Amino acid sequence: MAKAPVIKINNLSKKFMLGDIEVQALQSVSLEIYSGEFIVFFGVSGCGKSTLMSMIAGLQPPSTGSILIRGEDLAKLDSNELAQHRRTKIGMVFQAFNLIQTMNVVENISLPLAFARISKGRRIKRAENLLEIVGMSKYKNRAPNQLSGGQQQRIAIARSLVANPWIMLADEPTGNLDSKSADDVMRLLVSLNRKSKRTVILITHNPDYLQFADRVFWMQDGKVIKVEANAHAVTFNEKGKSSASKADSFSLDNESKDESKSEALEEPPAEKPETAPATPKETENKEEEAEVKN
Amino acid sequence: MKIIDVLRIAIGNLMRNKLRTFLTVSGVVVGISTIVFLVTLGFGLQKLVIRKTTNLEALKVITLNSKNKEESKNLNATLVKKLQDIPNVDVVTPSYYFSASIDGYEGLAPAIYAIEPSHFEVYDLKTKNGKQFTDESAKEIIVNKKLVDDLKEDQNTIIGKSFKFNITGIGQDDSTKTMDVELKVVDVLNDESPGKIGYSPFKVFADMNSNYYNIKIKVKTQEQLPEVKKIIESMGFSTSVIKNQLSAINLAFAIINGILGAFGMVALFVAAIGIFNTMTISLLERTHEIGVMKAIGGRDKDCSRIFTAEAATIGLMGGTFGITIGWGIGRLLEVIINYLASKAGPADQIPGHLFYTPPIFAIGVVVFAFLVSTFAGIWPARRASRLNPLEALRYE
Ligand SMILES: Nc1ncnc2c1ncn2[C@@H]1O[C@H](COP(=O)(O)OP(=O)(O)O)[C@@H](O)[C@H]1O
Ligand SMILES: [Mg+2]
Repeated sequence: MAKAPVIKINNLSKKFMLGDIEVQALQSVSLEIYSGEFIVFFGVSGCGKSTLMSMIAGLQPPSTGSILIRGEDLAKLDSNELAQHRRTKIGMVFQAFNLIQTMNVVENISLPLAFARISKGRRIKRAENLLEIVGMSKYKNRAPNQLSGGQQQRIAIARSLVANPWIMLADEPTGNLDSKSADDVMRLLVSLNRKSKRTVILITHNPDYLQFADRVFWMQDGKVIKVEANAHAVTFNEKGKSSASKADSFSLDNESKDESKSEALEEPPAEKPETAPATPKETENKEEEAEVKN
Repeated sequence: MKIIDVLRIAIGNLMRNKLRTFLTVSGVVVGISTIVFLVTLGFGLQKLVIRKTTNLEALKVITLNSKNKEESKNLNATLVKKLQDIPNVDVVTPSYYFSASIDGYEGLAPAIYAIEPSHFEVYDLKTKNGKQFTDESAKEIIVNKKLVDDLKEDQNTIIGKSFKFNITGIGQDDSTKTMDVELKVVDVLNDESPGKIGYSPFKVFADMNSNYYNIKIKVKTQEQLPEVKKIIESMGFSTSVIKNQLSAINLAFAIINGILGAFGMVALFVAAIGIFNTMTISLLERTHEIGVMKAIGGRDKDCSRIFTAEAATIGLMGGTFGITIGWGIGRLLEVIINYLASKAGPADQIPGHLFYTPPIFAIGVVVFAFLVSTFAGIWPARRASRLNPLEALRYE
């Protein structure tokens, strides 16, 4: 069975000049990531994980090599198209949450849709749906600085999902969180992957999270040194651990996960994964088309 | 991103730092209100000068003169008829001019103009008590101040007194004609003319059978004046209009307004620097935020538009408040000055409107403030659009 990768990276290298010193952040990285996979990039600080992620997001160009997202070479996109790439195909979650402090929770979540020229009413509706998924409905009018770290990260996850992207990039999302909040966030990421077949790429140096991955890319000194497939990726078993109000909607067993995987493989490459509470797909596609014309 | 959303974010950002926004807007308000105050004062004084030196009716009047004796023969009732037939002509009224002497006042030789009382307004004569002749052929006279002085009379007590005038004129047949008539003073002219002048009703002198001194033609609207003037000139007569004097006044005020506006412009320039400063500081503060926006799918254009919108909003607010305040200060001053004038002097010394704000000017000023501010925001906006999101996200 021929699998079409969502992300295909060919011989990717990235050099930085620090004065006269050349820093080789990435060296000849080649890899493929498939639809619906839960991928972990694992390695010590400074090994090039964030650099790789920002290049997948199109935030910086490779020195050599190429990145193809569903067959489309990022090098061929201009700055507007890269912005659209990030807006529609990539959802980013950062260690530092990176919420916009002057906007409230709903405004933060719906901001990517504002960039996509979607009307305020529909944006808010969509944001409220996502708030429910991340269990934060009560907080919709709060300012980010009125929330705990874990809550802010859940808002950031909601924001990354708002445009219904194919790929979620999470760069050490639990790095600033206490263990309980970290669990909440991980549970959310795992369930998003299992339930909605969304491709999730997690960057971490916490070995506890390796168990959730379908595959782990071990990184060192800008190189992928080992790829480890995990046939029995673990899903959270919520024995009273869950505190999220919508925890139920996250709890999925292995069986349904496998089911969703096989579906994902047959999914036509151009199609986006679905989240349960997404706004009607047709209308969203229309918006997309309208945007392309701009 | 839709314009409405750009505006929402821009206004949200301005609201975030209210004091700074207030101060920046205040800079624009000072600049704009200074311009508005000074220039509307210029416009107001211009109007005042025109109003006080001429009335608006006078701007519709063409005077048909005679260059020489030959020509003066043509100024007659037939010509008046002909002139009346020109389109857009409202009034045609002739006048006589005579030299005179007065019984009991040796050596006093006033000039007497005979005019039609029904068309008094054409002559733009301002009398002290606002009186006119009782009727078309009333044996009355309105004298000017100089003549009152030379008659050794007082401007108030002279009214009602009669004087015996000996009038001398030239008949249509070139013969010298004289006439004795007793004329009663009905009012005194409010003028500063050094000549001794009196005005009397036209018909009193009908028997003199003189040529007309001049003919005044009043057109229906000011705009029609040049056209009518051309027609009359094509008939071979020389004309004069008050317009020449007016354009000199207008030119002088155009220069004054330019200078006043330039002063205000300096204030606005300082305000533009203020906007530039505010936007630049705001940019530095928001580097991280801009990086986030780009990372989650904002285009470079979206980021720069937010900054442009902020600068433009400051300009629009500054312009709107500026024109309101500039106008308000003018009105206030006007009321105070008029009040003081009404206490201090006679009614005709009250200046009336001192400030005048043409609507086009008001709109123009707001647009101008908007443009200047937007311009001041261009550089910070461009920097926002060029900002590297990764660099920005690194700031922690
Ligand atoms: N903009 C940059 N300029 C210079 N060096 C950089 C830049 N970004 C990353 N690096 C270097 O590249 C290497 C990889 O960094 P990074 O991808 O952030 O690592 P990780 O996320 O795995 O901790 C590090 O040595 C880092 O110092
Ligand atoms: Mg990193």
